[in-house]
Amino acid sequence: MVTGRCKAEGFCWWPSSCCVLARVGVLVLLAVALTGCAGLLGEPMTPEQVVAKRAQARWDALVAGEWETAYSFATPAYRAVVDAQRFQRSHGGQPSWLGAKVRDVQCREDVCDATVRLKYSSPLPPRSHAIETDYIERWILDGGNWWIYLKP
Amino acid sequence: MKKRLLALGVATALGMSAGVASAMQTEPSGIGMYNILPYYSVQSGNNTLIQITNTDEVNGKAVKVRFRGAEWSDDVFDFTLFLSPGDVWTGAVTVNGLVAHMDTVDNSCTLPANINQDFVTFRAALSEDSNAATREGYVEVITMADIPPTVGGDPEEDLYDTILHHNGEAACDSGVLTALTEDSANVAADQGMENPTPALTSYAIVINVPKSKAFAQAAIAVNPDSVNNKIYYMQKNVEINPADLAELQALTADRIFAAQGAPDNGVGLQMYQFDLPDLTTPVEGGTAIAQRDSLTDALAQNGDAVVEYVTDSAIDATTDVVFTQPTRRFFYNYIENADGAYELNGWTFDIEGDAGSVYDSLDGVSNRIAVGNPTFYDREEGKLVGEDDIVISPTPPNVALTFSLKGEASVISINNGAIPTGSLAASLTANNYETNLEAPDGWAILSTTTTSGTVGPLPIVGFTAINILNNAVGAAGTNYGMVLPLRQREYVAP
Repeated sequence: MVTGRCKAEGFCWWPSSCCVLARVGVLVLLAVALTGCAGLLGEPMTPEQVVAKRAQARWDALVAGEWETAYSFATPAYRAVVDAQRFQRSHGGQPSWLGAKVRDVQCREDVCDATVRLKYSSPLPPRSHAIETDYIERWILDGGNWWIYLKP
Repeated sequence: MKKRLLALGVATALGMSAGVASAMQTEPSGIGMYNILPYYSVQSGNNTLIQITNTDEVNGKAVKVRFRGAEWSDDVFDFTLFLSPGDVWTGAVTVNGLVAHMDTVDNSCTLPANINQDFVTFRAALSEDSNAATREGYVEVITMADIPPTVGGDPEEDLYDTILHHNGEAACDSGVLTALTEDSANVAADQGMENPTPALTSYAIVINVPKSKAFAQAAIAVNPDSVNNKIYYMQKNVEINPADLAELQALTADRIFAAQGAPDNGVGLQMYQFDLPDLTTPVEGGTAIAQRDSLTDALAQNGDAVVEYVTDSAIDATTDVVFTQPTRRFFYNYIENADGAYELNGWTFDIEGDAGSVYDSLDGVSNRIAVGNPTFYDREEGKLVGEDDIVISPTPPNVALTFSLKGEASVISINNGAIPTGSLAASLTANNYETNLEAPDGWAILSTTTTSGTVGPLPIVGFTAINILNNAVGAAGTNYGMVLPLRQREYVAP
């Protein structure tokens, strides 16, 4: 089954070794995701890299209106007292965000500040003008992972 | 001018200007030669969107727009705006990294021609963090001159024509605009400008982009009783070098440009054309000190502010009160002290308020001035008076300053626990008052009267910003951002 899929997707020159390598690759990628490693050689991702990736994923979810996903990046302490629905409502419905891009992350010990460039449509004329502004959000290390700090 | 006189007449008829004996008057109509927006912010996801409207349907206006920092009123951004008759300018204060930034696509002419720039930090040297100093403050909008279709009966079309919108766009001929020279004593007789008349109205919206909150504020309009001269200065870094304090005070009451050491008590900072005009630059033919005092009187008719507050956590309610003092900077003396708290321009000094003024008890080190105790009522007639009932955060530096206003655009949050404040995310000059009243909603009397030295009401403009979240189950979630004016009782001297 695995071999067949592997052949079909044309991953490898040698079909017999394909699935082994693919499975190793998947395991490595899983390890990267779980432990914050940057590459196949096990080079650890820096806190800045981890936070940049998670902050971008969170904003991608927010802009897409995927509130449950965005909520999952909040600290365990926040999620213990605020449920996903209330998290969504606290944003005043669906704001007029047009996009978001993480520009910079600065870390010290267990705290990182991520600078996010937000794009939104102006409520004042000319409304066709998309305004861009930076927003600095605080991420903290808790239980081996990085979470956005939100005030409950 | 007729509009202003009519408005003043209406105000007098309504008793709104009773007791005012000042050449500068606040304008109940909201239309004036000067507009003061009490607060802008780009803190914690905030942007501030601004609109300035020229209600004069005949004359264009040459306008100075200046952003001043919340801590020390330092000039953190300024530009010259040319509004054609009936024109509107809009712009957004955003943030670029750590510093505030102007973002506009408006077609009105400006100097410099492109104002889409970061705010400047070199004048914010008194602040611990000059980038942060740009992120909160207030805005002064000053009509420098009128731009009529004709001047002195002769067609003077260059300036008027180049600022006039044709098919939605103005020519903005840089040759015409940059050739304009200082015109404060009517010496540059014929460059297309006349004495300013009151016709501006402005408002701003502080919008929190991540949270979809918004708070709109109307500018306070101010008018002089009479106008003697234009106050047009160039948007250029051309030096102005007054020979002495008297010459300086013919231009501005801002002593930071005065000579170091007594008796001038300045910092000796180089003044440039772009530093003028400010709110004290004489337009009535008197001195800058006289205009400062006149404007201060106009803004200081009351000794406290009555505010409503809503802080029920079940609806995520938050309440902030903004107290901005637009003339406070003009009362500073920079007193030589080798161990002083501040150093600027090779000069070490402390900051003190002018003797005999309401600012003579200013604590320059903490940038605070003490005011009277507040009184809080909840909705069930529960009442708090005094410092034992209120926990203040951050803790003021000493007992005398328990209740005090920090900086020049001071923000007080109520029952928010800590700063940043709940509605406006203010942090530079903010304090939180935590009451222990049983009910989380009610009203309060917040003093704006000094308690030592020269006791009297401070010149204040501001508003209360209340946010309530509709977070009912099944609702999408809506922030109801409300702004209320500071209701003020008549001042009674102690």
